[in-house]
Amino acid sequence: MIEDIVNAMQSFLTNKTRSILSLLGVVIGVAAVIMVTAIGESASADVKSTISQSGLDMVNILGGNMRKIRALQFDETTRREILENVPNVKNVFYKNQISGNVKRGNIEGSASISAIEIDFMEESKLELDYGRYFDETDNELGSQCAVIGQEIATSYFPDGDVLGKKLTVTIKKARFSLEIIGVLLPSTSIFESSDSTIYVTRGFYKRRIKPNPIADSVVIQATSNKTSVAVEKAIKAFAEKKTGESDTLFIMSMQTMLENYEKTTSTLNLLLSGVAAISLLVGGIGIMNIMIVSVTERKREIGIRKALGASQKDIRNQFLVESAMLSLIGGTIGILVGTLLSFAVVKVLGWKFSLPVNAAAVSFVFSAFVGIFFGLSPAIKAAKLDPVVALASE
Amino acid sequence: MNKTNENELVKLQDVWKIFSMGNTEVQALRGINLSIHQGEILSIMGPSGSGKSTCMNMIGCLDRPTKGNVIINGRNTATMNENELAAFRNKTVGFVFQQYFLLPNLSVLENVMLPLRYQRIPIEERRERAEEALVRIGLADRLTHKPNELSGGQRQRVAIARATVTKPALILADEPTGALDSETGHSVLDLFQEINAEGTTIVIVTHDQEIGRTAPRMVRIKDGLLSED
Repeated sequence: MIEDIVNAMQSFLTNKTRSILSLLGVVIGVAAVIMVTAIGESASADVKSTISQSGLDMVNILGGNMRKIRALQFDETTRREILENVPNVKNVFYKNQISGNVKRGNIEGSASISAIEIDFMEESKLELDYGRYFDETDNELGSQCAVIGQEIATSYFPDGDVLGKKLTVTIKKARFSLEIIGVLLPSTSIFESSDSTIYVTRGFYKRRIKPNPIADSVVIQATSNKTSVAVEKAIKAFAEKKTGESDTLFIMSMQTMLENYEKTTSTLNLLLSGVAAISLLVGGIGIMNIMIVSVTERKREIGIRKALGASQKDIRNQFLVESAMLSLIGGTIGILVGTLLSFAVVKVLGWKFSLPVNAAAVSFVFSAFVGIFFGLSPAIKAAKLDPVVALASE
Repeated sequence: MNKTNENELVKLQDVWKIFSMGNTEVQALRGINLSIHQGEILSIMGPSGSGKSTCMNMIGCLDRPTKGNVIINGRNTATMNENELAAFRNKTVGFVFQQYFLLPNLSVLENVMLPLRYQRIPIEERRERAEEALVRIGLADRLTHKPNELSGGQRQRVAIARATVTKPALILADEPTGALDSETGHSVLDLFQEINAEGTTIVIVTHDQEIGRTAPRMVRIKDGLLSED
């Protein structure tokens, strides 16, 4: 076998240009497969990590339709009902969002003010850059303090000194002077646009803006990532029961989002694999073409080998090894080229590169298969040549 | 089994070969009867187009007759399948051609090793035996050369080494001196004599009267018919 491979290599070396050209189809085909999967996987890993960072145990109830969300009356009674009736719920976080005017010195603008419950930040993985989270006392007293997003910090405090400083915020004609106690890291979540948000406690919101508020968005935390889909369903059922309407709310767990995304990408991958398979097919036809030429040109050699006692099987195997080797060399070059190119593309896009080991293994095996499949007919043709005719040919 | 004579290596019985080219038929052999005995040197003489090469192809099992029997070592080749014929060519026959027919990409040593490869002999043993065969014909210093780096006479000696490396019962030489000058040609013929002295049967196909006469036994082919003096 090793000898067959060595001989095949010798035969390629006598026809370098042609061998390289015949490889090209497979090289391009395999490189395309590798690039598609490597770039696809890296993009997918990027999206997945974004989704995961939002907390896979979180189920978001978004106020798509204000009338409907109001009908649910997210107050303390409802909270108790959810905690009592919906299994696997760890926390129910109520939020209220309003926009307000923000002013500091001569810098003025508007921002989203989000009134949250104190554990919400930690549980939904909104990480602090510096400072501290809200504590129990802040909430109880309704203190005029705020945790702000990265963008707010850089816009209103260009000199960088933030903690303990104050922002003047006007909400519904009432003016507050909020002390900054913490600054968040840049947002990674897809549901929380925390960068441009000023967070206050719901205690503050209750005391200073609206007593007994009804939440306008709710984030429910499941007991684990695994139970979040069940929680999502149970909450939907709960909402339907309560309002008597189906599709009351836009409710989605991060887990379901991730699953939906994976479904979409696997469909896309299937499609792209189809395209890649076609390009490998074209590469295989290229190899077949070159093997037919090779058999025609080497009739004399085939005749000599037959005269020396090569059986049909010997001749067939010789040409099969050659086409499989051609294809495998093409496949290997394709894997290298594809990996390098996709590495470059992924780096330029700023994603994390992950080597598509499976795709590389599959294309390696597949290119061997292509070589054998498309080499079979020329090899059999060679094996069946009449030795007298073969010897007489030029 | 058709064992008429212990001493008989090859027997052609009423062998016909008819090539059809489109509508016309060419009768290359028209009922050849010939016995080749073990250990003899036989020359088959005839002008070009006489059918002598076709006759050689029949003896060497490169081709099958249209009609008639080719019996080798008591076995009728008509009953042998392709694999058996290949094994027969490999073990029992050694071919020497006018154009040498060495493989240009392989070294001298590799060329001589090739027939042993088709016997699935391990590479070390193949190398040993091929070297031995090349030493015997005086080309020990040309092992790694490519055929195109050798003279015609040297190439033909390599071809003879390749034909003898399997220790066949029969050497079939088709115009072995046809591409050589007369001096080199004679040394090749001397080599055949040496090989024959060890018991190998030799059949030389030629159109050259002079070469033909060097063999103790000579048959002539003309228009597909065989005659013996």
